[in-house]
Amino acid sequence: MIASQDIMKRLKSLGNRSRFNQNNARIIASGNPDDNLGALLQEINETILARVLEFRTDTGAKLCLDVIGRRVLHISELQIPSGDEAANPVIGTLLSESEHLELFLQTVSRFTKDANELSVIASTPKQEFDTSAVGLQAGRLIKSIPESGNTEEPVIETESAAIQFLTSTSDITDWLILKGEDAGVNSGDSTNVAALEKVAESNIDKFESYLDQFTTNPNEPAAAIVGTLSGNRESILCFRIGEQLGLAVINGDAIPLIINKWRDLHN
Amino acid sequence: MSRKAEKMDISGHLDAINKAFDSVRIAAFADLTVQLVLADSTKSNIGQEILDDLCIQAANAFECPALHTDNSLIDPPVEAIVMTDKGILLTLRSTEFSPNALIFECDYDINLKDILTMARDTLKKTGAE
Repeated sequence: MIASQDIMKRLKSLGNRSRFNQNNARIIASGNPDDNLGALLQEINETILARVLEFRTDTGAKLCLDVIGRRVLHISELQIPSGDEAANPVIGTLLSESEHLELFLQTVSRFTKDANELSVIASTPKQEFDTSAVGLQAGRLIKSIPESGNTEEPVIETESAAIQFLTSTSDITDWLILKGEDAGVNSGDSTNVAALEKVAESNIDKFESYLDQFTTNPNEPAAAIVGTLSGNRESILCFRIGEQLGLAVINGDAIPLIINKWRDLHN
Repeated sequence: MSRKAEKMDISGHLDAINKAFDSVRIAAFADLTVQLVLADSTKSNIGQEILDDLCIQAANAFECPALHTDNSLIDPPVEAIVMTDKGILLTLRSTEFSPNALIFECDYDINLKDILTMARDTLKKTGAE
């Protein structure tokens, strides 16, 4: 459970205005090199949609990470002025917790070492990520940081099952969470998301009742896909996972994959 | 074709689908407007109440609130799939206006592509439109 002081600390930090350096990069840590690693992992932890995070330090180092759903999939680039990273086995590799957790933390620690300023630029990836890959979860990385005497511990958030499900395949093209801790979070074409918002307006109870009729008990997990179940045509997905209720537009051809993802989520 | 002859013909198709897919627990043909199962094929003995309930759920699956708006994002639905801890409920009708539908209760490992192909073929062959 997250302590109330952690929540207050996080809310306070969210209220702070972001600072940018001369390269228009957002400064995420400055003044204390001990804060750098935690700040970098916190950025990963707050990245839900597919993004390339380009970190730079005032010592001239550069690190690019492919991140989605609070998970790092790859280190796509690493430059450290004082070291030769060409042979580093984690660069360009699809990361996994069993093989790369420790090596990833060592690599990132070398990158942030001695820097007085750490900044980040987030951009949309040029190529789609393989979203079925698990990668390294930020929460797990944060828990694995060696003790460093930091007093500012990052808040550990775990990705909600609903977000995990929605970001698990790019065939869930447009989506919106209607209810729950991530209410309002959305992704996809803005016109479609706006249409989903309109559909959802004042209708949340109807969606709850709609799903309840299929479950043994109210509020149990359920999902309905309505439309055409194969081919290029789009269908509507309405789902409930825990407290979260959502709507999505999906590609008909992807429905077998979505069924598998749903089953995996509940097994 | 008389209702009785149609039913017999469909029963054979339902048995064939039930036999072809281990993951299908119940295969049924129903009139969704009156919510009545007209024929069924099951792997174990089940009561009429279960079939009635299945038929009501299949009919209601098409009543997703997202479809009853002026700005619906999709074409009128002809197929629906519901996923719960009980498994998968798959319903197909040949057009969005057709009262007749094929309904399947399946396990999660169902081969969706193959069963959809066979079910659509059944709807065509039996003229259940």
